[in-house]
Amino acid sequence: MDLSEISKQFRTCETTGLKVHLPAQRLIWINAVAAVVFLLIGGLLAILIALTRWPDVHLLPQDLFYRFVTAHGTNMLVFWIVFFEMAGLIFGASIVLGARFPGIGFAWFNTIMMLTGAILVNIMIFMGKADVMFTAYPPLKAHWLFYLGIVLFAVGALFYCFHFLYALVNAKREGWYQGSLPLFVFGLVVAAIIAIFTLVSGAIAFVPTLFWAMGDDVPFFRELIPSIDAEFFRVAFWGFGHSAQQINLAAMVSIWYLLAYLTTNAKPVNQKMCRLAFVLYLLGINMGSVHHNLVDPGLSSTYRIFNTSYFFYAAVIGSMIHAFSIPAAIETAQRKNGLTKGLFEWLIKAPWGHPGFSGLALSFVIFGFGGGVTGVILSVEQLNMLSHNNLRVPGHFHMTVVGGTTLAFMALTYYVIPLVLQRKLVLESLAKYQTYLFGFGVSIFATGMHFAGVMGAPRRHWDISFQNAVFQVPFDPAMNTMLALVGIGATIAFTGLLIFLAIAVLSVFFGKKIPSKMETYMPAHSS
Amino acid sequence: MPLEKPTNWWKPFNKEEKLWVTLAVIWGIIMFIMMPLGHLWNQNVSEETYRTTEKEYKEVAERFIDKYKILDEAGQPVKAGGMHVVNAPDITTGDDVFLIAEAWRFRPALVFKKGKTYRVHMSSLDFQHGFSLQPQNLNFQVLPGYDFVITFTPNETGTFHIVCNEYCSYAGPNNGHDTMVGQITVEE
Repeated sequence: MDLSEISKQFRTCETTGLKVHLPAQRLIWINAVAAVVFLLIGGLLAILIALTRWPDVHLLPQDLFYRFVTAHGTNMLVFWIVFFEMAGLIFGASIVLGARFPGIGFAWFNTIMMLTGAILVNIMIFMGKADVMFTAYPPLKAHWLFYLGIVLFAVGALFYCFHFLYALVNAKREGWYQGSLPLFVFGLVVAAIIAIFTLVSGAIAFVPTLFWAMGDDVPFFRELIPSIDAEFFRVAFWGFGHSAQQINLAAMVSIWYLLAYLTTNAKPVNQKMCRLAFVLYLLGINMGSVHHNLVDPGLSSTYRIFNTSYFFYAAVIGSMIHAFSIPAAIETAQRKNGLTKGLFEWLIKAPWGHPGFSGLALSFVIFGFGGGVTGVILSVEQLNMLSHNNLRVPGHFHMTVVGGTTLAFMALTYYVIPLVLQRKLVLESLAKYQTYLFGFGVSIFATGMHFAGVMGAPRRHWDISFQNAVFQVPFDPAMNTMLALVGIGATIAFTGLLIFLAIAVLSVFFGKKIPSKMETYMPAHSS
Repeated sequence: MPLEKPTNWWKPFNKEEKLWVTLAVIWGIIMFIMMPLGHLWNQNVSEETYRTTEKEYKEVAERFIDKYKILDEAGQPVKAGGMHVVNAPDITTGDDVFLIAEAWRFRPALVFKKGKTYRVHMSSLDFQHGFSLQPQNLNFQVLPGYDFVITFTPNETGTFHIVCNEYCSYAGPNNGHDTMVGQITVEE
């Protein structure tokens, strides 16, 4: 297609003036809708699981509990998050830069591959052929179609990352864009590079495992890969499993900057500092994967300490910088607007009734103070002995992934729907309560998990009363209170989630269409 | 703004930024050296691991159980929760202690003496398992094919439990990951 034809595929957003490449908009739509569907599945499972962990309710039977934990982990940590991030990458490479998104057919192919993988994984789990948890540690074996689904999804996402980088190059080559990338896109580039590392690690873990599992049906593979080394898989898997959450980190921080701008017109005070922090993520953050292996046999202390500390906490310093520069940007912008009284007028008079801002603030606090601090504590070699595989771990990552990333993504969705997907928000008045409900709910249940873990509650455990076991384990009775908090907090968060889903789904499918002018738009810098 | 092309973004840090980053760097270094320093306290994760196979480990561990199992007056083996109860030999005997993790039990039930030092081997005969000592809440990963050796000296008496905290599948409410519990006794 030549440029004159492409130039007719743009509309101009009436609110922001951004040029929107329509084929890219449709890609964002499919990825965002897929993300929300998997969020819905994962959310329904979440409430059932939380109510099972509450011993006084103990809702699910044993088999469904483990099946649903597997499905919940996979749908939330992988499908919801990665689909949303793919939508973000397309948004960053096209709309933000005012460029076209090249290779639309290839992108659709990858989306369909990812969808096929995700659906396959879900079918296998719900058929009961893959009760192996999100971690799928061999020698536990699922049906090989489960691993195939994960590999298909990961390959699709990997292609998307390369596609994103290509789109950036193309935007410059065709003259849509010149000069340094905007900070938001810079953060996405970091996320995409981390994603490439992540997905390659995932392939190293899952491709041999796929062949090993295929050995059940095909003798050739049985001879090729008779077994998978347990520790090899653990190291490779966490290069995928934890790094996948570092993609979230980079994407989420980019979104924080964006939300700060959209809600208070905040501009980064010193972009050098923000970008340096992203580079520190790029260099250091993936080493942290080793904190899943701190009490494993076969690894040396040197290896454990060096990696789990992200090389002298380089990546944590990155987070500390963002923790400084995002509030600094907001404060500067607010003071410019005349909110100069005292130390905190800028904060007190911030737009707290606006879901974009409250979502940002809650996500920032829950992620940084709740999730980040607990994470750094858990990743100390010696302290990890007191927390490995107990509920402290899910307590930590629900603060980061749910209270942090998911909440930031939700807050952004309230902008994406009108600005990118051209639909008026339905039930908009509920949105301003939604972020609070969700944020407080997550804080409550993650705190409950954390302290139940401190008292020794194992994660992924159907019955900590050990009714059917040969020995009864006398846990601290206060653990019941903590697990009740998990159930209550999850119910509150789930209510918040349902409101979000109602707003998102009703708006996308039934919201009033926001008209937009089609305008011929040519690259400004083409030679 | 984060969406605009930056103009001249390579600006020097100002005073507050420098102070903040310096503090963060110092704090990062302090946090880092806590871990190597921790090795002075002798409360560290063991590094001692050997390659093994499920078959080999089972043989060695069964031989150990046979040698040290406690017999009652009638000459019958004493059992707790269906598992042999074993008097663990401390390091002065030259023998090591072997703990088997398998779906879905830890065996044998070990009896230690307070103040004596033991070398405890742990390995799995099937899936990955988690060794979680309660109520101390001390956790280690137990893998098939890896013989993980932990040297320890019990310093309090009582009955303790080992809970499996790594999901290891299930086969009905009476059998599965959630029923996998072992027992450790420490005597005076």
